[in-house]
Amino acid sequence: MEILQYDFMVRALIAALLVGLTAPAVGIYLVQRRMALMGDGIGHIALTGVAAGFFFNTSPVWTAVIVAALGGIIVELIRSSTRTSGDVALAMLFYGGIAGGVLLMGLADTSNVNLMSYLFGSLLTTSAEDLWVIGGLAMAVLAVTLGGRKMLFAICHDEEYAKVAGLPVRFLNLLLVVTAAVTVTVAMRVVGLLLVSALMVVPVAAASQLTRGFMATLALALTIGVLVSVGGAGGSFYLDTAPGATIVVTAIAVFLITGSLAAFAKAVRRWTPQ
Amino acid sequence: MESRQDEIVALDHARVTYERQPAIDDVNISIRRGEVVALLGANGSGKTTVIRSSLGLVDVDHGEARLFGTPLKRFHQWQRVGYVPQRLGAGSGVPATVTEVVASGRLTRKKLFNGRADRKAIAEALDAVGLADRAREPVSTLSGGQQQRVLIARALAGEPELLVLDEPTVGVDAASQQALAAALLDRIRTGITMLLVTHEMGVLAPLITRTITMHDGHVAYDGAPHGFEPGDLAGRADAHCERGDLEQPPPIDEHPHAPGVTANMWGEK
Ligand SMILES: Nc1ncnc2c1ncn2[C@@H]1O[C@H](COP(=O)(O)OP(=O)(O)OP(=O)(O)O)[C@@H](O)[C@H]1O
Ligand SMILES: [Mg+2]
Repeated sequence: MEILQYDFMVRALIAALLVGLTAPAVGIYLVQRRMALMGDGIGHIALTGVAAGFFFNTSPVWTAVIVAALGGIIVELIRSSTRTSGDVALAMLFYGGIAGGVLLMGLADTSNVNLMSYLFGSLLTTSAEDLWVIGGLAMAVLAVTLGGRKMLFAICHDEEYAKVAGLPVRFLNLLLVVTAAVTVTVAMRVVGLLLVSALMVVPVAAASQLTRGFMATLALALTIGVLVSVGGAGGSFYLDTAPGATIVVTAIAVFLITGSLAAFAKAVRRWTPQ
Repeated sequence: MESRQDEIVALDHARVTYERQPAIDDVNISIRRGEVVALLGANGSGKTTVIRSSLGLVDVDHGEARLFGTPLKRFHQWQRVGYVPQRLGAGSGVPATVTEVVASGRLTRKKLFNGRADRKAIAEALDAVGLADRAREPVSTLSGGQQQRVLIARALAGEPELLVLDEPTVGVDAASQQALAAALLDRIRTGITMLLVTHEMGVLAPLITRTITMHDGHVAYDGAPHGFEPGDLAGRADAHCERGDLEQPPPIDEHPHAPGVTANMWGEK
């Protein structure tokens, strides 16, 4: 395969694979809790973290993880301690994240090119060192989301019941948002902060058109996530398009396909004589 | 003070305030092992609040709540408690099968690798609520009453010593209520303690050993259910079920005492 002759492309495909696995693994719990936009909010606040990295002249990945995790924790605390769904807090995160990011970027005097590479991803510049960081973080995310799947399922399904079952609900909720923040920072390299959430949500939505249970949805969502990430990244090489956008468009195409399949299957069942 | 040995649920001068007015105030309740207590009262009288505060889902701002003799702050043996909430919160955005939901009832059992016992308990719980044949279906395709039965199965799957149910029979049809009563009776025979909120006792009536009526955040009545002599619980329940006596009594919103009238616990003659 021609594509595998380029080292930068091999690194890009590995990064895409890791993100394709981790994003839906976290996203499924956010979707289950009907907080699909949480990933977006964390993505926006991560921009402030990236800018803080430039401002303080340190690695933007780590400042993004820290700021995004703090933002997520604040939204979670507001959600759990008040009776609102936390969507006003989420909105603040959206606005504050972008505004704070642009402000700090200006103060740090970085170029717009730099800003764009975080907003929309820069998959092809993934270095070997980046890959180690992404790989390590991805393993941590998978350990939490797959290892803790039964408990996370229980708290996202029915939080009150989970409390009476003796689960450490508050800890698990915070663990989930911190994991989401880590995932966002892992994925920003690949699809960019503005499209991170798409990769968390769309594979899950596509999978749940065809499945009946949670664990089946999880398995299928990870499969779809990997296929669209690797497929989209590879496709962008041949089509000469932006990898992040190509991945997301591919994911939405898969969603449309599974949606039509589900509708078709339903129609067939209806017309089949009992 | 009496022994706390077999005191399962206790509220001591409990007060819960959500916003301004206390939802319950100066509530004293003590439930001992093996009792089956019906919590009655009008809408908004504080039944759910009594249950939520005795399970620690809402903090008492005065007084104390205890489970199994231990103040809630120090209580950790949640595997002894099963809970059926009044209604499920925000619906799930991802499909889940009946088995998956019932399986979360096993999470109280801390042992991680106990597959066989888990599967057995889940299957028995599904049998008890008559949903064994729907085990692999997504919960969202079940009717409201069937979903309610899934929540009951989830609580039963944990094999609790104390079962707390908030209006378990709302929307559950007569036939399923009877299956449910039979299943609960089985558990009662094994010595389970039950606290259940209900508006209509229906077929559960013969299981009840004691009623507590809430009125405006206070306990208005606490004692034997009217119309039944305490005694052979199991025999009564069986007889009742065999008669197929399924009339729905009117909801009790008032004090159940009616002096000089021989009435059953619903005030019917
Ligand atoms: N989360 C809450 N926030 C504010 N007030 C509440 C809350 N929950 C209950 N209340 C108030 O507390 C009082 C008792 O409510 P509770 O839910 O305990 O009643 P209930 O007896 O269970 O009623 P129902 O039969 O309708 O279930 C009511 O006046 C209600 O308005
Ligand atoms: Mg209630």
